[in-house]
Amino acid sequence: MKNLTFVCAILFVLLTLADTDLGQSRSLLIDSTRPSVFISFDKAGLLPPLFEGESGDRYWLKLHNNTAVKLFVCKFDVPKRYGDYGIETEVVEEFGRSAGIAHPRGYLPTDVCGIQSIDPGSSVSFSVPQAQLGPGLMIRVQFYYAWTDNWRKDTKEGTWTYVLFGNSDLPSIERSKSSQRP
Amino acid sequence: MTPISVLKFTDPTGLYEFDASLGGDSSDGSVDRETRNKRINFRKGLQRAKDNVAKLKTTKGEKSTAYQKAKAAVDAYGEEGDKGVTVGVVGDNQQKTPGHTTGTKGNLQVTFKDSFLSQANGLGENKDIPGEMQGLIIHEGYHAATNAAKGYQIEHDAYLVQALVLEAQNPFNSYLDINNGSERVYIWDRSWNAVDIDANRENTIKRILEVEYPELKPTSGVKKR
Repeated sequence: MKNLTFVCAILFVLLTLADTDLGQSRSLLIDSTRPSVFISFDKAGLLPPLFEGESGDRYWLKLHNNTAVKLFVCKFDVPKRYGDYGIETEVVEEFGRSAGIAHPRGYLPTDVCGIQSIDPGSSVSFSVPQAQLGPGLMIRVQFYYAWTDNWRKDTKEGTWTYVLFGNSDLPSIERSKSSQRP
Repeated sequence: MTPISVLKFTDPTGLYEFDASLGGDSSDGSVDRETRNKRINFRKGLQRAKDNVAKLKTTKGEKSTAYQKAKAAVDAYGEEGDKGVTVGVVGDNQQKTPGHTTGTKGNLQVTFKDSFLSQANGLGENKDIPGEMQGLIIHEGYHAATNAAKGYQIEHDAYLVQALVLEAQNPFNSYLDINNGSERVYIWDRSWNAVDIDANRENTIKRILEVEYPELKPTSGVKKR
């Protein structure tokens, strides 16, 4: 009987600790049903190309911070109608899919990064040429959490993390349109 | 040339400090030899840039755009020892470019790759380390002067001030390897004829931007905020 009581006590402690860990993890998320950081589709539209070589077709996206801490991204200034900011993007092929053709590189990082913070629970609007999200493509956006306190390490062992948004994440009508583009 | 306002540039009397990677505010005697050497390299490179910017005042004119931009770039660092722009070093695998400027107005950080600041790999054709380093130091200084804003014209001007201090140090050649190292372009070549210098420099800068920063080229008619 003593042994059984002891085992029950251990189980109780373990379950309590596990629940505490889970509770803490949940409390980091503002909306527990969504990822910590994610990009959502806002709208498609037409504006004069921002940079040479782009078409005027753009997607407006939102980068959400669903955590209780600030995020930081590299931004560049754009006219308001293009979004709150320009956000650096890198175009890569979606997992298991191939674009099959040459594609844009994205708004790549350079030797300068203007830091933009995104408050807990808020989002920033940005836009990219639709070609950056063509069939088989996705964009990845680098960011770092406030707790890393390190904004200069941007590769390999650095503390940057990425959030992805791909052609597959577009609404079906936009996905369908993108597949019909030359 | 179009006159510019120095008011466009912030922190004209800013003061740089070393961040923790370079020993913070510890004295040279309190940091290890390797860190001390990196500090010395940076100081010498910045001083060389300042000396050459002073020459530009005479050669280009105090009110010239060239001088004003170059001066803003070295002034962004200011003098050592107080809060302002921080200067640091990062591992070679932690930063894509040899120099990098990050932050926001009033809170800017310039970092250099370890191999650059320690000169472990050596640079260029010349063994004059400060002479070689000054170009990148002033390039990043220009980014600090423009608050880490990103854009075609800013990147153009960062290369411009880089080329100008090298020109002021004449005789001295300096090149950059671009296109994943497959193409070498001279940002300053002492064999250039005087009448061709501006055009040659501009062609080099345009080539660098075309190859390395194709996504930055703005279309006409879209004004940035």
